[in-house]
Amino acid sequence: MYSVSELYIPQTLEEALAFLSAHPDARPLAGGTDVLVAMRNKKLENLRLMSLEKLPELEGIRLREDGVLEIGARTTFTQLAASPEAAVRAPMLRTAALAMGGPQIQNRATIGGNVCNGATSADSAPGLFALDAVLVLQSAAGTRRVPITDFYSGPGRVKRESTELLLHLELPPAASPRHGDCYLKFSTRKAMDLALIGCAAVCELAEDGTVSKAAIALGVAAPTPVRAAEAETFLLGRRPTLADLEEAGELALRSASPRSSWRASKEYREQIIRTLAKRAFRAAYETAGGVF
Amino acid sequence: MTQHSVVGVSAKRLDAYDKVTGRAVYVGDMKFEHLLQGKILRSPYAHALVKRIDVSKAKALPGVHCVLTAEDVPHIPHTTCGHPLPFDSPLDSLILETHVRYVGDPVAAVAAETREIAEQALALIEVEYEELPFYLTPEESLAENAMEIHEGSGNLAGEIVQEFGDLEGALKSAAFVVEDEYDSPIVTHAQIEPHISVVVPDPGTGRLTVYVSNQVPSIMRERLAYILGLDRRMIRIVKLTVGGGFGGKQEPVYEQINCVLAQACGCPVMLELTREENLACTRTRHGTRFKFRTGVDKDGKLVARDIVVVQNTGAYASHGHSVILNQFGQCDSLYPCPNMRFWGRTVYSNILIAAAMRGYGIPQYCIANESHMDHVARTVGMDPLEFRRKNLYKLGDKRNYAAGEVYSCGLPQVIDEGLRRIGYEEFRKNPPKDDGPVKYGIGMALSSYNSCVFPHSVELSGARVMVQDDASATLFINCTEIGQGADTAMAQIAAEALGIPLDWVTVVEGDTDLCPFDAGAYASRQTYVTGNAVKQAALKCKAQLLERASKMLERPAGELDTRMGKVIERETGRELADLRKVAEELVYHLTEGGTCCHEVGYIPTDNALNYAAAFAIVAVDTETGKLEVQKLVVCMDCGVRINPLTSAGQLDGGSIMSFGFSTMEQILIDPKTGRVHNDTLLDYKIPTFADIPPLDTHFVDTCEPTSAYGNKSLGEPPNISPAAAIQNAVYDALGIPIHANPLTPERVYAAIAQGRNKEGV
Repeated sequence: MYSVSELYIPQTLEEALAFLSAHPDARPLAGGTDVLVAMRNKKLENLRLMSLEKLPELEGIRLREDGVLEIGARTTFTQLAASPEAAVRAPMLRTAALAMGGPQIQNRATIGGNVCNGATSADSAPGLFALDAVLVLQSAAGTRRVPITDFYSGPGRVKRESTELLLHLELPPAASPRHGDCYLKFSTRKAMDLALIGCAAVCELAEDGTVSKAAIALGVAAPTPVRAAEAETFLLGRRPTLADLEEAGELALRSASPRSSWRASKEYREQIIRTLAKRAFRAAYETAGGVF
Repeated sequence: MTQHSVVGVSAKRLDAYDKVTGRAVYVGDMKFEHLLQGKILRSPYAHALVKRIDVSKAKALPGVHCVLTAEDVPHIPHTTCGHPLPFDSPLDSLILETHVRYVGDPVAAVAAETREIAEQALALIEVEYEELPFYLTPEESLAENAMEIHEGSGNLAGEIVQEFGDLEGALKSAAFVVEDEYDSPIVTHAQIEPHISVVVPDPGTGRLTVYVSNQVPSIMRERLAYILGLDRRMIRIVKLTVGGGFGGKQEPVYEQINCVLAQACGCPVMLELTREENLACTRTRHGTRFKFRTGVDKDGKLVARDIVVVQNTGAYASHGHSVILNQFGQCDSLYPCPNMRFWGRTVYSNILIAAAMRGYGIPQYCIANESHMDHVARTVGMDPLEFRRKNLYKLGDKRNYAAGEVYSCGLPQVIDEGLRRIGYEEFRKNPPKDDGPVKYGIGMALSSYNSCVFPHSVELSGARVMVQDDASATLFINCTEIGQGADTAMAQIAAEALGIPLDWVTVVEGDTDLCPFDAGAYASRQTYVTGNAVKQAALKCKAQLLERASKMLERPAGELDTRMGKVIERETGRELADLRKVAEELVYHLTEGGTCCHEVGYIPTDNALNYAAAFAIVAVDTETGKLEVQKLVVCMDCGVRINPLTSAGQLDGGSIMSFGFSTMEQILIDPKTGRVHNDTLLDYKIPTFADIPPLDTHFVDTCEPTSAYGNKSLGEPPNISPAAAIQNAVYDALGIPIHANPLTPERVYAAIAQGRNKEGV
């Protein structure tokens, strides 16, 4: 059922990076919630696995002195949901973590795995997009920092070189003390389900109460997670009215390219996109202290 | 009512420890030396002929023990339908096919040393198909030029028309006539444990022992023998712990294939389906279309009801038409009406097979009928509650059709209790105001359900009670424990009737070599039918014990009774002797010693009705179509509850299953290929624990005189009315009837959008 040619368990980061350099076909294994399912479904066979279980560099959530929040790639969703640092920086990360799978999956699945798996439906992705997360990747040759918005290249595809390992994610601090965020997942079930559409919003307010940062990110609205740039530009600098939010919801569609499938029609997905974009930004705006 | 000691008292399930600690033995836990693994090659086409099949490469693969095709196995047309003889469904099935009729129809089977080798062997079988036109819906199958899926069938697996009074005349004179059409989806049982069997052939005699996860061991033995062309004595069925049946295991599904594999290999073979096979290639509830025409007089009294049902049975009839007959059986029990027609057709198509599923046609009938009742009420200008009360069956009312007399009817109680618990009057007086795009609604639905299949089908249940030399008892039954708590209920009945504590009873069940015939676990019949058999057999043992006690105590047996392991004075309840001593003397008496073992085969002569009322409050997000069930109240009249604890489990579990049927469950089929789109539990949505709405379940007290201890059916009825109550609550919230379930957000949103267009908003 599970066709494995080798399971290598490096004891140090150096060993891990050396192994990846020597074996570009090796697949890093963290929680296994994507890899094992793909193996069971024979989408991956005869696999050379490299376990990440012994690498402390990939663990933990730290608030650095410069205000950047570092989230280790092997952080499980349960750990993310329980992290006070993450809750202070961006409460929606907890929402997203608890929206993913169910408790058993959250105990195994990691944020690094969720990102590197490249799925547009990844529950962590819209939030990380909206927060302008930066990925820190390391190979034997050196370290590389990539904004998450540049990391996805297609459905199930990301720009991780086969010799690279994702060490951690960096979340820059909010530029304004008046900030808020929100993640909304639209799915049939409350657990053990994929998002039909996921939407994260971040709002920061200037001293005069106008929007100084508007970020709206969508999952499953396109082959990769996307930022709704036109909606964001529209909101920037405004004291938005409810009508403005309706308009922003419409504009969010311009960044989306949903398709019809047996799971849902294009038209219905669009209705969910405009509704979630509007509601998520409204919640973020109100949390930041904005009023209508 | 007599005070009972064991019956009516909550008892822990007999298998509780084993299940919780993982010691319970399921078929998949069985270990044998040289246990081979079976696999099935399935048709990739919805409708095709096998022109050529070459298994030589598969046979040559090391580790493969046999590869069978249609020409290697018995060719006896049969029905898999799990009812007692005589056959009541078309004999339209074969073990392996050369004319495949749905995506997944078995073409060949392999037994090999491992599952992986068996899978590799399947890939090596070369099959050439000639594709035929395929039909996925009854409309397509019944179209004028459609090819026959089964020769001579006209693509009809069964039809029933029953008329009472003067339907058309009554419709003409009615003050209001309301017409509706409803579509109910194909849904599946989604048992935790997929279908599985281990077949062990006896090398000397060829006799087959079939270890199986199944609901009907006695029927399975008869049916497998027929399918295989064997004498029935050549088959023994041993049912092990079952991880869910829900009707899907009420027939041989793939056991016959496993039997021919084991016969060919001469050693034990396990055949366990994958989750995908279990979802796409076993059994389902029927996709059904209902058409109603209802006439009402100016006072809101029903004067005419026309019910037209077309159900899609898929590639083979299996239980097919019996399901429609069950709908006919209930269509007159809640709202009797003098002028009525019921016309039902069961239609073949090229999709997976529909058969028995918890509620046997009634959940889909209920959702359509109760939704229609609300539409009629609103058309007449009455509150749905008032309209139902006006037309509700009352004890003694005449019905056009009835399977038996009604002696107990808790309808008024379930309605009153439910109204109170949901706060119906309050909601109507002060309906919650819209919360932005969110609208609120309240709905109700009623249901009725039989307690067995009398008088339509053989209803024999056997029970043997063997009292040991310490007054403990062993109960032998083929009344089947499939998770619903039947063993515990039967042990309670035996203990009560014998007058011993529950933990003095051991149950041996589900083995056709050891236990007497029982039609099995379906139709919510077991406590009603087998319960009587157990009680009567236990009473015979008790009479024998009291006869011995009478001699020991030198008092007439008529003055004595038993209770909780003691002989007591009937009049006063005073303890006179230890029943263990009596049993000891009964066995070890030097000259009069004897055994104490009695068997009774019981056939009911009545068919009690279970009644239920469900109420729901929903919040509907009109921008997304998403609904949230804020409260679900289900009140049930199942007579006396043998085991209140497990009864509550049934009612809660059934209500949750109904919630899934209402809101998310459906098998979706690709119109281009006939393939099931959603053959995983990610895409076939069943509710998780996080999804379960706030649930308030309650039983009302009635006592049914025709059963062992006042009990009535309980297994299926909880899975009926909740879905219909939710459907009506959404109707109430939106003011728009939705003519199909499940109420997926997209479907609800489409209805809202369509409603807006009509209003020109």
